[in-house]
This record gives sequence, structure tokens and C-alpha cells, in this order.
Amino acid sequence: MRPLTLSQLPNSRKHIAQFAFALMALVWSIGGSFQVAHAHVGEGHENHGNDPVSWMRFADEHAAAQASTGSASSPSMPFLCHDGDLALETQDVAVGAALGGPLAAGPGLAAALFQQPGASPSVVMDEDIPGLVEIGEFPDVPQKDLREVTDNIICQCGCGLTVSACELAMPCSVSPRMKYQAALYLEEGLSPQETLTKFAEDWGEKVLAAPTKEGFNLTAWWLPIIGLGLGAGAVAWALVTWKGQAAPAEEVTAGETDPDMLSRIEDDVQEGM
Amino acid sequence: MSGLGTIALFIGFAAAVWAFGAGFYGARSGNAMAIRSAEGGILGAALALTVAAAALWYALISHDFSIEYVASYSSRELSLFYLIGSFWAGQAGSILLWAWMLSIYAAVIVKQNRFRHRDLMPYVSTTLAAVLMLFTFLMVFAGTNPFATGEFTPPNGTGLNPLLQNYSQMFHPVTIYIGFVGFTVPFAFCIAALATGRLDDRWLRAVRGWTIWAWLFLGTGIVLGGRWAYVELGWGGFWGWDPVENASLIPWLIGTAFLHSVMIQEKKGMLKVWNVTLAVSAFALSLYGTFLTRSGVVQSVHAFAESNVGPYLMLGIALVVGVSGMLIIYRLPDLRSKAVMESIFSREGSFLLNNLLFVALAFLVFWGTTYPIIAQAVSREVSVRAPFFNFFAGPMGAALILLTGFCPLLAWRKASKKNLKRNFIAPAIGGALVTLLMLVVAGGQHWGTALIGGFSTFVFVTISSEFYRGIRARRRIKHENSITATGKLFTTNPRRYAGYIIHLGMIVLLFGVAINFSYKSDARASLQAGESTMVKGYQISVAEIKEEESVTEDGGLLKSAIIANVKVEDADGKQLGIVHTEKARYQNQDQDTTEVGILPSLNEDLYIILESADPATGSASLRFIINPAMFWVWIGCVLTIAGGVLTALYGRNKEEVTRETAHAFAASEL
Repeated sequence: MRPLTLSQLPNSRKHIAQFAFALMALVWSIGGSFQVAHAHVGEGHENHGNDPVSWMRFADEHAAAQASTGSASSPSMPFLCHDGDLALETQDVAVGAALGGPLAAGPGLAAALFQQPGASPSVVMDEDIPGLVEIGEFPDVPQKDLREVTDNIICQCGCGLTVSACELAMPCSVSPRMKYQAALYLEEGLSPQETLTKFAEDWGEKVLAAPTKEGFNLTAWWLPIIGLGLGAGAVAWALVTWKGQAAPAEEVTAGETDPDMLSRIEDDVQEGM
Repeated sequence: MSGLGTIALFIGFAAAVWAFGAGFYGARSGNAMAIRSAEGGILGAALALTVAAAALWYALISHDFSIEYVASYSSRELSLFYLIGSFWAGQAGSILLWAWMLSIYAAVIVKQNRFRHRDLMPYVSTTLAAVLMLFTFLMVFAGTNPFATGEFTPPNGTGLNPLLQNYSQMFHPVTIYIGFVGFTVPFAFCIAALATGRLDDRWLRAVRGWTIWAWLFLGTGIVLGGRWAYVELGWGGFWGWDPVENASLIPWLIGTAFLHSVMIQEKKGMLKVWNVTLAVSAFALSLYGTFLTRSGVVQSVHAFAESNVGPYLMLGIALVVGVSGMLIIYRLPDLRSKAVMESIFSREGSFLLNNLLFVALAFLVFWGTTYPIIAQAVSREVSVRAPFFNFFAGPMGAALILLTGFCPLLAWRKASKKNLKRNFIAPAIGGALVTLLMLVVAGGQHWGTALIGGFSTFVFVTISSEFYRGIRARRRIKHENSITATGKLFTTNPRRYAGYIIHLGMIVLLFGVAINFSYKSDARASLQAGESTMVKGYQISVAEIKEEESVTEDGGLLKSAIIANVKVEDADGKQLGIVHTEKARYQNQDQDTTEVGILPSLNEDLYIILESADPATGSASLRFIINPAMFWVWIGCVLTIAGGVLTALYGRNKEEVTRETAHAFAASEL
């Protein structure tokens, strides 16, 4: 029996087959990425999540290990700061291996998904962050400009809030220092926009609350507009097509006896009788 | 309790597997015994998971700290209220909550449809069982068993995160989950309709009530989350475009689009492909929301930490999209309907535009939330927060408000010029006047807010005139007084008039948000004892600074707090209130928290945050945020929820109920 080719399939089944192939490729690449993600996990790491009991036990063990080896490294507390590597447990490897197969290579979406540091409500110890200045006498700068900057930069303590919000919400020593830094830049004569650019140079663009409008980031800004445009185009196309199928319609006349309104109200009244 | 809970979870998983297998076999072969057996499996899973849920609650209330979850999220000092809420404070408990709620939903569906929709039910059961399988699998095999025991039993637990010790946070996760899980029902019926080829609007009518409840609970959960952020987090806002907030908003927006577009299919038989796509999307995005919250993939102030359930949820989403996508493509020829649209100036035309905007907004939120992950895949680290979302959401929200005014009053098929003039000239004039007035008052600034004010007025006048005409007609025809006529409007056509209440709530809410966004201001003051200062028209003085400590059962320090009681008077010296604000440290959690003080009024909230204080000298450093229109934001939320409740409770036509009852009776006689 000759194998069936795609072109021999009826139309709807052909579409299904194409869709299935595309989806399999997506899942395959995601699965492969899990494998890559796991390859970065250092030995001896365990996934403690934000389970404090498990964490405390791990911290004690870690301290004991340090005492015996004289190592100076310190474990990271889930509520203080994050360890760089995110440990995935064995089940993830199984899924990755099952789905990833031979295509697993190079950094992929899931590597990005599962390799980044965890995201529990957290405050990073500020000494871990290079470039933070000690707060001195606060410069007298226009509050509007300062607010424009702090509304548009993300606090690097790990909370994910803007500096303006974090300063109020979290017991955090990072956001006041970032705000102070912003004030210093403004005092030097930088505009709010230049201050934002300076922050991006100092900390990387992740410090900005919105992506820059350049390079790959243009996709972030343009895709919603393109999506909306395509949607509007589809609606317009549907209207033109569907209008062509319509029988000549008599206009619903209105005035004092708008039949639509009247019929709706009369229906209600009849129903209620 | 650990053993009982774990066994119950295993039984729940086994029952779900059985229900899936038997259901699928029954659906394919038509074997009635297999179909009934699958439904039995679902009831069994619901029973087992109810036992598991009861076991976890019992363990929490009885302080069974041999269970790691109990030791991690509760303590002897927690009140019963918060002990009950500790159930969903962590990852494993949340997954159990998801699975348990789904099993209850599934059991109700099975019981409700013993004699109805029998052609659809085999696939409905199979789909519900498949989703149940995924979540019970996570607990049994993927390391999120809430009954796992530790190597040792601590004398006391760590306690609940103090930020979570707030009434709205107790209800927020549950309501969000009821919403998320609720979208499984339209999805299951949609799959059944696709699998069986019965693609008329019967499946839509079967799920309409369920969809409204899911939408309502999800919306209520979002509001409670916003309220929690406002009163507990202390940053003076209620919505920060945080990824976890976004995760709940996306399916809500899709659900809203779905609730509107089903009306076109019911009335005109159009948009069948669109409706099945929306039903699938709402559920897939609910799973995506769960994935974002549970996997630790996003950086959020209130996401759970990293976990290993992410890949499985991702796989689940891929399967949902894959299987549904294939079914939709397979059924495309049957889903095509002879669509006729005579004019964009018609009810169906405006609904198309409203769907476009809702879906575009959902896509925007989805895209903005997911973009940092995509950027990281191409070696860029970016953040996407409020400035990005506000850039798009403002204009799109304004357009949606405008459509809210047009949609309900346009005639089906084609509205005449007279219809347009009669219904919209007065509201348009009212809207234009309000826009102008707001621009004048603001000195030409905040034109976006002025525009939203005008659009909101436009909608308000159209809705008011609709009520006025309805009441007037009833008074004339039925000789009812105004109060009776108003009540009868709701009882005779609850779907329409409760819908107006929802619209009214939404415009009050969005207008309040716009005002708040534009006119929010803040100030700082350091005060010595007995000193007072003026802040934005309020006279502020510190009435009292004190320290308070509370202890654990065994006498250890539980919490130490510095409390400031701040006296607030108006400019004429009339006392407006004493506002309590504090900074506290919870020893068990090694965490500082801020309790904000809020003095609400119709115009604005005075929001006071204690930054630092010295009890010895009675001095305090305070931060003030003037939050305008917050009262109206919450009133808008309440109106929207109230309208949703009315629609959900009374939204079915009498005719439909009678027909369905007759079908059920006829089927039972067979």
C-alpha cells in the first residue's frame, strides 16, 4: 500500500495535519528547551521553592557544610534574594527528554521560561546589587521630573514594581537608593528621558518599565497595533462579504414610534402579563 | 491525616483516569453502560477530592505540623478564619483547590444533565475528566502533594504571610479559581459539540449560565485582588499590570467577548467558528493564567516561587489548543453559516466591533505579559509594566466605553438615520458638554480623561433613557407606578436590564480609574508631637505614636509594631477622623509590613503611610497619597458585580426554561 501524502488528503484533514505538525514542532522545541534548561542546573541545588520549613533545613545543612569546608559562599534566602540557578526537579527532565528528543539544542523558549531566577515576593539584599549609591543629602530637583523617572524604572529588589510603587509598598532599601540616584542624575542636568537612558546603560534595559522602541523590542510595540489592524481588516472584510449576501434591506424607521424599541418594550410587557 | 489525604488524592486521580477512559470509549461506541460509568467516575473523583480537601482543612485547624504544607503556611496563633484561608496560601493547596472545585463543577454538570444533552454528555464527561486528570496528576506525581510530611515535626508552624492576612485576600484566590475553573464547562460543551457535530446553538444555551457565573466570579476575584492591593500592599494603587493580575484579566476579557458574541449566534446563527474559538481560548487562557502564577516563570510581587508544575501545565495548554484546533478545522465546513450583515450600524455590526476590541485588549495584555519571556529567549532582558499597557489600554478602553453606549440601542439588521438621531443625539450632546466642561476645569489638560468623561456621559444618558422609556411604556400600558414598573423591567427581561447595570458599573469604574490616573497626587511630612501641617487641604497632626507587641502561645515574640494615630481635620478645623497606620515586623516570617490608613470620602481617599516614627519623641514621618474617585471605582465594581449576579440568577428566558424542562421530562419518560 502506498503511503498517503499530504496532497492526497481531503481539504479539512489536510489542514488538521498541517496544524498538528506545527503544534508538534512547537511542543517538541519547548520540550527540548526543558532539557537545555536542566543542563544548566548546578549540582547540589535543590528546589526549595518558598517553602520555609524546607528552606530552613537546607540553610542549616548549608551552614554545616560551610563550617566543614571553610567555604565563604552563603545560601540565598527565598525572602531575601534568589539563587541564580533555578533547579528543576527530575520530572521536568523526564518531560523534556520525552518531548525534546534529538531536536533539543540551543537556548529556546522554555530555557528562558524556566532558567530565570524564581519570582517569590522577595527583597534582594542591596549589597548584592552593584552600582547602588549610598543615600546622602537629597538634591532639590523638580518632583514632577523625579516622578517621571521613578514611575518608569523597575526596582531591582526583585519585587517587579516600579520604584515609585516599591518605595511605598515594600520594606526595601533598593528603591530609595535608586530614587536617590535618579535625583542625582537630574541634578546633573539630565532630562527625565536622558536619566532613563542612563539607568538603562547602568543596569541594562530590564530596569525600564517599558521596552525601548528599537531593535527586537519594536515587535513588542508594533504587534498589538498590527493585530488590531488585522482584526479591523477582518471585520471590514466580513462586512463587505456578508453585505453582499444580504437581501436588499428596508431601513428600520424610527421616530416617535421606533419599532425596535417599541417591540422590545411590548414583548416585555406581554411576557410580564 | 496525611495518609488519608494522600489516599484520597490517589483515588481522585484513579477515578478521573477511569472517567476519561470509560467516557471516551462510551462516546466512541455509544455504550450506555460505559457512559454512565464515566459519570460515576466523575462523582467518585468529586467525593475523593472532597475528602482530601476536608482532610487538609482538618490538618490546618488541628495544627498537624507533621505535614509540611501545614507547617509552612499556618501557625498556632492564626485565627480560624485565616487557618481556613491557609488552604490556598501555597502552591500545593492551590492545586488541590483547583482540582476540588473542578470535580464539584463536573459532578454538578453530571447530575444536572442526567436527562438533558445526552448526545453531548459523553464528550463533556470525557473532557472534564481529562482536565481533572491533569490536576490530580500534578498532586500525585509532580511533587505538589499538600499532604507530604517533613522529616521532623516542628512545635509550631511558620504562619501565614502577613500580607495575605486580609479579608479580601482570603476570598480573592477562591473567586479567581471559581472563575478559572468555570471556563472548563463551556470548553467541555464546546468540545462535545465539535466532536459530535451538533453545532447549533444548543451547546451555547447549555453553557450560558455557567459562563456568566465563571465571568462573574473571575471579575469579582479581580476586584477583590485590586482591593487587597489597595488596602494591604500600601503603594496607593489597585492595579499595577502585574503579570499575575494580567493572567486573570486575559480570560475575563475573552469571556466578556464570548458573552457578547453568543448573542449574535443565538439571534442570527452567525459567528459559529468565532464562538467555539472564544470558548476554547477562554479555557486555554485560564490554564495559562494558572501556569503563570504556579510556574514561577514571571517576576511578580505575588506569584508563587519556582515550581515543577509549569511544564505539565504547558503541556496541558498545548493539548487543549492542539485537540481543539484540530476539531475546529475538521468541523469548519459544518461551522460555516450563511452570514448576512446589512450594515455596520446595526446591533450585530457593533457587537463585531466590541468583540474586536475585547480580543485586541486581551491580546495586548497577553502579549505584554509574555513578551519578557520571549525577549529573554533572544537574549534580551526587558520589563513590561504600566507605561506599556497604559499606552494602549487607554484609547482602547475609551473606544469600548463609546461602543457600550451604541451597542444595545442599535437595531438588529440596520439602524435607520432616524433611529440613530432619536437614540443618540441627546447623549452625544451631553457627552460633548461634559468633555468641554472637564477641559475648561482642567485648563486644557488631561484631555484623555475629559474624553472618557464625555463618553461615559454618553453611555449614562443612553442607559438612563432606555430605563425611562421602558418605565414610561409600562406605566402607560400596564398602569403601574414607577417603582413597580422598574421592578417589572428587570423581571420581564432580566438579561437586558441587568446588562445595562453591568454597563453602568463599567463606565462608573472606568471613569473613576481615568480620574484617579490623572489627578492622583502625593506629599510627605515629618511631624513632631503636637505639631500640625496642611497637606492638600487637610490639616494633619499626630495624635499618638505607640509601640505594641503580640506574643505566640509559648510566649515568644510574634509581632512588634509601631502605630501612629493621625488626626485629620479639614481646612476649617472640623475633625474628619483619626487614621490608624502602622509598621510591623512579624518575627516568624522575618518580614516587615506596612498597614496603611485610609480616610475615604465621596471625592477622594486620603491614603496615609507611616514611613518612620519615634515613640520616645512622638515624631513621625508620613507619606500621603490623595486618591481621587476611589469611592466611584469601588461603586462601579459593585454595580458591575450586582448586574452580573442579576444576569446569572434571572438571565434565562422563561420560554427556554420551559422547553428544557419539557425535554428533560420527555427524556426521563423514555
